[in-house]
Amino acid sequence: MSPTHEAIVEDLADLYVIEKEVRSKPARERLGRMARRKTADTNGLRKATAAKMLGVSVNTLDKWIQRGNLAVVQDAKTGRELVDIRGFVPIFVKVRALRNAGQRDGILAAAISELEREDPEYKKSFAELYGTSLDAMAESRLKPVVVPSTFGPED
Amino acid sequence: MLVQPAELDPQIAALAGRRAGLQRRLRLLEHDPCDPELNAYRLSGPLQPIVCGLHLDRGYRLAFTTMSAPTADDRPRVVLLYVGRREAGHRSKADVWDLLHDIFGIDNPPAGHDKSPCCAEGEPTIEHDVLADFLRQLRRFNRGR
Repeated sequence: MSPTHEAIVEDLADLYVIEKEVRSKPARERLGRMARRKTADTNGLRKATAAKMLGVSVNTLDKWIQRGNLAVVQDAKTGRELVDIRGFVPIFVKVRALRNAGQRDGILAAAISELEREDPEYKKSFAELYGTSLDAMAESRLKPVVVPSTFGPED
Repeated sequence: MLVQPAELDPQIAALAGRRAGLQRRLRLLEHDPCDPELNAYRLSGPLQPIVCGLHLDRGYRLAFTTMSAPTADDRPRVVLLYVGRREAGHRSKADVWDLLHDIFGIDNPPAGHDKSPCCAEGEPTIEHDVLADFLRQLRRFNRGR
């Protein structure tokens, strides 16, 4: 039975972590070849799967894609936009580490923030992603749903 | 979080005493808009990326979408768009889907729709400007009733 895409990402994440810890160049190259073999049959992850693995909505995932934090590729058969697995792995590694450390809220934002600190080229702040939505909430007069007091138990 | 436009108050209030089961569905939506118990489905046609519908009791329907989470917990906001009665025979001025499409300013596709599961490809999403325009039209619609 073929491994699921989630299992492939988990393996790639482990390889990514090990590659960073290994000093030997031949060993790192070997790990790189292993990672490439893992993505030989597929280099794209469905957005729903990627979002689920990160614990965010597909809408949020699309926002990060639009801002260049996540690369996408096109499925050769369907033409559907998929998340590039190799670009996804570093973010997933961060998210997984934060979750294992017990963090529950704002994990994706924290992961992006750490990647930004570690890599000056890694862009976009949390506020830029969510700021528009905050303004939209205020402007659109959206409010929490409150059921009228006139409602009965079956209403 | 589950939110609604203030403009939807009259439509929600009109369900009082109708036993449409709205409260039960709202609890499920707030917990998870993709909960299989909701049996939510994508609308056909131009609204397919934006709107999901679900059946309430006694012929009522609810339309909803999601927006990016504005808070650090990374959960989307589920936004109620409209609620109303499905009128037999379609093309009725009171039919919930005809009204929804009118408010969006687009044609309602003909009957015989393919109701794909709401979350098969992720949640429905709406852009800020599309929602703002929808709400302006909903306000106009309510004033004209």
